[in-house]
Amino acid sequence: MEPMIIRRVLQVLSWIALAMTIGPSLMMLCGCGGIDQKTMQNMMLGATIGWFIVTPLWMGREKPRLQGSEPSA
Amino acid sequence: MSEEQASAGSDIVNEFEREPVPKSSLLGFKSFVGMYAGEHCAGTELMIGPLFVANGASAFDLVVGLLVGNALAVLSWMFLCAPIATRVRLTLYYQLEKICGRSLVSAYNVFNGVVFCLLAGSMVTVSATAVGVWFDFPMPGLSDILPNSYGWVVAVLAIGSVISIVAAFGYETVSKFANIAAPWMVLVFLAFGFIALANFVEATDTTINTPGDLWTLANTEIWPDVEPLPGQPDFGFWHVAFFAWFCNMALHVGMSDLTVFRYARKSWYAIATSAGMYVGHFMAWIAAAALFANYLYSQRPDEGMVSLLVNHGNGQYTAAELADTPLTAKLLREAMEIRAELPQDTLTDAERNFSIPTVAPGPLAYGACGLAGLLCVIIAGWTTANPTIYRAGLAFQAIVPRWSRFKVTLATGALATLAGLFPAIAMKILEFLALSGMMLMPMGAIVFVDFWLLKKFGMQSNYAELSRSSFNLAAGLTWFLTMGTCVALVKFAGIQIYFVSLPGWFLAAVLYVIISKLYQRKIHEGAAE
Repeated sequence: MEPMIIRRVLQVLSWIALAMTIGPSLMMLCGCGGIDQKTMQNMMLGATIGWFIVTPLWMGREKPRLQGSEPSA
Repeated sequence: MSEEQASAGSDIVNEFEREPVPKSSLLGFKSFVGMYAGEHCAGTELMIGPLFVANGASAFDLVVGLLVGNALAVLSWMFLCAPIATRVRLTLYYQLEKICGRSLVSAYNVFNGVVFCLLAGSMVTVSATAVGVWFDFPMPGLSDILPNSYGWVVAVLAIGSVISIVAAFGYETVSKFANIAAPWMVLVFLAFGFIALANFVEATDTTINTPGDLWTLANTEIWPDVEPLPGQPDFGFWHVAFFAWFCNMALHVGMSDLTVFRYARKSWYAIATSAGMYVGHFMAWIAAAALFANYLYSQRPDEGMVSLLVNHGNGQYTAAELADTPLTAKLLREAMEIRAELPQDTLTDAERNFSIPTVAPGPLAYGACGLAGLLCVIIAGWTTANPTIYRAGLAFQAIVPRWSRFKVTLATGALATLAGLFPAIAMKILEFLALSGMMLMPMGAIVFVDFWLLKKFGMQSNYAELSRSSFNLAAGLTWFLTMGTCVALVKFAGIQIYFVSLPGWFLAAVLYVIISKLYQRKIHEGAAE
């Protein structure tokens, strides 16, 4: 797979992890989904692990260039 | 990893130390937004928010006070610090050396280094409260000065040692990790607020349909206008606003961030500081304050307190009532007063040692977000203590440049760890930040007056450089006299430490003009003779 596409996929996964970090507490506040505090805490922990596994794979690393593309001025 | 790697991490702070930043190295607006948003969401935010609640701040005090105070802080960066930074493009240290001379700058560096050390110590304290959740040792209380258990000492030493060694070896790695952690950390802080609010909604059986409902809940249940916890100062709107304005006083009014904004293309880029202020010093403080309010609300008077209030009180309370009453500052104060009035030998153990709530970020975060919350406390403390120790090391190393940076950072870390053992610094962090800002503020006034006003009054700017003096007496006297006057105002005139820096800045500005006039004339007369 193209490095650029892998990067995009990883970024999407990071965004999902971030959404999962805040989402459960927001759901608990809104009272939707019948989520209790223990479930919310477990979801947050899962999202945290996901964020710290996936994000270092792309954040702070040089962006791969598309094949044949020239650096812009 | 090597010492070179450690020094590489100083990036923005350490480049162009003795020359103006060239045009080719100027940075865009976004660089400053990212930097400030990440840097001002620290472990200490989890102490500051709860302390507002412990000090009795109401919902209005907190929300409006923080809106106003943070706006004033942003304006201070925009109109005091950044305009000079983008015209001169020098670090604060080099600018001060030109004005004050090398010896005086060394004294300033020692002050700065000590302040950074104590601040890093409080971050170690915050992280140690998270370790306490795992090992279940007693947390220090709000009025504790000394360490209160062996477990606490071991936890602080362990965390402080790791942070110090990592700071000495691998600033760069932690800096990268901090960048990765920042967005997650901000959201965990936000989650603290959401969870606290959700718990309040459930406990009070409130329905929130409009912002007005939310404001009513905040006013009546979350942060009602109540007295502070025993032993804490009574905070109102102005306390919160001035604290928010001046807690980073060393950076804006004190001009430390000349070093950062010398890279800005335009001085208005300083508005980027609002990202740090309204994420870290608004959202995070309010979320942490809600979390602590929720903790207090969920607490009930313990057996000893109930016994004091019911058996020795004036008949105002029954045990059944108290079992269903949230713990408040009023109940605590009444129980403490009863305990103090009774002969000690008539009290039971439970009455003598009834529990008083403490601000411990670890258990608070764990209670709300579980392990993710605990990780947030440790990471927030670690990632911010690390650069703080590194900066303190830089300040000390500037005094004797031949000292190895590795060893200086390690020694600085040891000092910070030692400071972290004493919970008083973290528990009194509001006072500590206000005091440190007051001590470093006069130098900012000196830089401001030297740049904008001295030439207009017919005097020389950068006088130490021109006169080849290593100690500009006018600047030195201004600094010490301003500090002395501010301390005297706090001690004898009853002005609280949170407010004294504002008149202090004007005093420093006037003193520097007057003393410079006398000093520069005397030197010139001496030279003419």
